[in-house]
Amino acid sequence: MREKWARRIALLSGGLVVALAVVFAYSQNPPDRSAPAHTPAATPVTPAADSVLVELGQRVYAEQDCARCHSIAGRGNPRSPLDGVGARLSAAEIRRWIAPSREPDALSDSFQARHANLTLTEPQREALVAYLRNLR
Amino acid sequence: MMKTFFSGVVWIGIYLALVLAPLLVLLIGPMPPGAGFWWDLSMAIGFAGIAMLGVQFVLTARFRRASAPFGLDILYYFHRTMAIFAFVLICSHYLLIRVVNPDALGTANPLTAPWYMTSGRAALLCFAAVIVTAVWRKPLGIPYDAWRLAHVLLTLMGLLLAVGHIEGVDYYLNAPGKRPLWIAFTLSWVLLIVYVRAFKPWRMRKTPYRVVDVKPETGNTWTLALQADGHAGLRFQPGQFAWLTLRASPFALKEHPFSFSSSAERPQRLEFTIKDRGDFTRTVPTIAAGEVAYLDGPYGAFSVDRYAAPGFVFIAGGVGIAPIMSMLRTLADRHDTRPLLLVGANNRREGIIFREALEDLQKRLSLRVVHVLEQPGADWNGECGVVTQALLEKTLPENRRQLEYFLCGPKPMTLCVEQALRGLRVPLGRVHTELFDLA
Repeated sequence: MREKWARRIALLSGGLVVALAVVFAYSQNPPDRSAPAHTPAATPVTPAADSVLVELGQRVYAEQDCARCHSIAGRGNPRSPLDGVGARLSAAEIRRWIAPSREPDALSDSFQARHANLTLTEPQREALVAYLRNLR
Repeated sequence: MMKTFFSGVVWIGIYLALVLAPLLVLLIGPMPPGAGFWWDLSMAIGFAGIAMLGVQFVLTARFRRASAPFGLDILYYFHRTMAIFAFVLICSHYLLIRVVNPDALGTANPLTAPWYMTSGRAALLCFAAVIVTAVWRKPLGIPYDAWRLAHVLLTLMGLLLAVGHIEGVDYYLNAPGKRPLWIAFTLSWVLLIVYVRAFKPWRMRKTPYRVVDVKPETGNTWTLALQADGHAGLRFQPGQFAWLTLRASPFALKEHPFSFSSSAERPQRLEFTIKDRGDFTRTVPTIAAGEVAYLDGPYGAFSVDRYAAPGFVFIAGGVGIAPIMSMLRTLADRHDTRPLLLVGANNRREGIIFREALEDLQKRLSLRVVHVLEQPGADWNGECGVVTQALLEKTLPENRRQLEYFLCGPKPMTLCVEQALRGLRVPLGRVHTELFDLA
């Protein structure tokens, strides 16, 4: 008898928790807004001379697990999409995001900390910048 | 009855509030923009799972007032059910991302993955180990004492790793007001652990008991008698149990639950009747008078004191007689005149515990005793076999639907008798059991 009630209460609490989680996810993503959330990036325009560099940059992006925090065309962590970043930021700005300076600036501490984990050589960083600049 | 019911409802409400609070905190105040339904669902489920796991500590902290309306045994049952549910939630948190967006998980290699992702994965492994060792402890042959220690350490480690993962990932908490609330919530679990593992044992150490007698009963069973040493001792309701520590410090987590078998009207001498069937119970016969013991209790809702009825029926299997003996002795000390029936199931005549004590009690109470033997000798002319519906039908009095029933024995027997009573149209709410094998 008491077991039956315990199971009922367990079901009730479990149901409430899952319902609340669904409400949270739904309220974060109302159906009318969710459609444009994953717009695939427009076809990148790659000048022939840069294509090797861009390809290398894409490899660096994969090797460094950038998708853990970023997404491109719906793949990866949707929290910080990089779609169209090339149209929004200049090469210098992208470089500053990737390797933030030690001085306190506009970038928050937690971003600094995240990117501090990156182990990039100079050519790798330039390739990554080229790849990201190419996302328009 | 009504008071118990309402306080039960209040405590269930408090449980729900504790489990839901962290999710509600997520829902209020500024939120980062949506990241897709499944992504956000995964995150919410992760938070919910970890909140539930935190509250698991509350369920087994043995708060006497909170457990009283339900019985502590059922809280352990609930703890087990909710643990599995919370684990499913936490696995879903991981699996949803694995399916919807595997790139976001990054590498699983702990050497190159960031610490907070490794921390999350390690937490998942800890919780998996906790569930496996708890659900399959016996088939895996893990001794109870070692398991308890591992259970506490593994959950604590898992919880800390999970909180580290949440702190490291840092999406939803990155808003003023939310982080303090979340930290307070986490900290409350730590305080609870300190209360259960340090403060309570410390209090137990200040209220020791002395063993005054270890008496052999029939059938590999011993009765251990304790007396409070320099303090008032405890009062219990007949049928309740306590956690007993022998030859160990209260800090060592080497305690085991046993029912009182003595009268609740004689609290100055507390008796436990214990059958030798495990690592701990095997040591009971070697205990000598004068040794120190510690008690945590009383707990449990299995008691005649909780029900008003024109009479009671007790159905005991083997050493399951212990809490029933406590109820009978108490009723005798109170000069209770209500009609009582005891059906005692045992293997052999020689195995019947308290046979003579029951004969004495029959002189003081309006008590009918029916022994049922599975392996009766040639000279037995009582009932044979197990407790069946047919046997109960001819043994139970006419007013069987007004009586309260107390079943205590091995699980298969309890299930059979419950079925039989249902067949005899006894309301299920009048049938009370104590669940063993949960703690």
